[in-house]
Amino acid sequence: MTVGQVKNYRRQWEADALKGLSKGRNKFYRRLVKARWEPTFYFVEARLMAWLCGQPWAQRRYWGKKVALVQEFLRATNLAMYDPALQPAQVIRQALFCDSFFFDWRSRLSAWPPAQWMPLITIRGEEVWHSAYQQGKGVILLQYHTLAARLVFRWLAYMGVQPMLSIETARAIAAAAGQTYSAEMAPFLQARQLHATKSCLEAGGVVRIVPDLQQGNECIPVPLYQRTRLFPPAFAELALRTGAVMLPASASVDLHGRVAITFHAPLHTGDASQSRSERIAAIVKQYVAFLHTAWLTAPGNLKLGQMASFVANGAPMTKEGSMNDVV
Amino acid sequence: MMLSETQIIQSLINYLQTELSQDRLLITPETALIEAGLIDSLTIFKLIVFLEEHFTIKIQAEDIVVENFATVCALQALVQRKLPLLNKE
Repeated sequence: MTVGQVKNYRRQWEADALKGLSKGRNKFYRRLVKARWEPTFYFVEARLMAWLCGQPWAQRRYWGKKVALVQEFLRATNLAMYDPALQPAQVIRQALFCDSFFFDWRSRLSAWPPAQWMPLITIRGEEVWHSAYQQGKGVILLQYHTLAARLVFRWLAYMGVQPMLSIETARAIAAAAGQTYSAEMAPFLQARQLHATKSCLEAGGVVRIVPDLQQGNECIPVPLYQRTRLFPPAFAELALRTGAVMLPASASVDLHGRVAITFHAPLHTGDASQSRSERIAAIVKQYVAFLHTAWLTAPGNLKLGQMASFVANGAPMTKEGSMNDVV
Repeated sequence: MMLSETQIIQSLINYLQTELSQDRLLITPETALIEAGLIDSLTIFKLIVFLEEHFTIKIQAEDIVVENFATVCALQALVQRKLPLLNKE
């Protein structure tokens, strides 16, 4: 190797090293800025979007179909009958805020470190959670369709809870496994997950379930807001088999972007005098009662997809079915 | 205790008749359980728990596939494969 070649090699090495250093430094500064300023961006954007979502001209201009859907949902559920103080305009504003602003931010929120994330969250019923988890029999976390729902799992992860498992749809399981979804394989994918769930609960872990994501023949019809809806009883079956505590948990976001997580009283599993099917039906009814209250408490937090599904499916309830059956 | 093929098949049919509440439906070793729409995800899960508890075997995730649950015969073959050598004929 000649002296000239050595010099060239050294120059090249120095140039590469400087480039790498500069790249690394930029990345470091970008991270620093992001970590420092992202929560500020979040809250500023929340204010702007909360304002925008409440403007009639913006609703007409950007979200006409979505506004119509929320209005249709409010008509179909007749929520105002159950809560005379309910303000449809506020529900629409909240629904648009969740569907636009919070939809974009929620995965980024999950990536925030606990120091940034925790001040954003308010936990209610924390003692209920601790009491359920400390029994060591496993906890079935019962949720429903809100965009903030998955943040409950994030909070539990920060609290060091394990093992944890989230029940997903057959399509999501197939996608995660890189498989092509087919209707024939769906029950098997879900059965696999239920099987894994049982092991998780037996190890004292936590399983997150949105009950109506499951499919099956054994669904139990229960009245919910003027409609009869079918609810799969897999979670009740799991609870009876494992002795796990069934804990309803709701998560909602307000117009400031703050998230409230609430752990509600555990569901009762019934007593030995009842048959297994009676106990399962009673558990499903308790879940639907929780759902009834949760929808009424924060209707604007429901996913628009869930509203659409409610509007599209199920004929209005006949006079024989009464909400007194549920609540 | 040694379990014969017939005993396994009979246990499975008895379980399915009770679980599916299909007293009028005659379940034979060749009844197509999936095609007839007799089993869904919850039934499969309960069936797995039954197999594990009744035959003292361990079902793995990779065993939970269409081929193993298509008929009572397929289920019996799965049980037979999972049973310890001592129990096999």
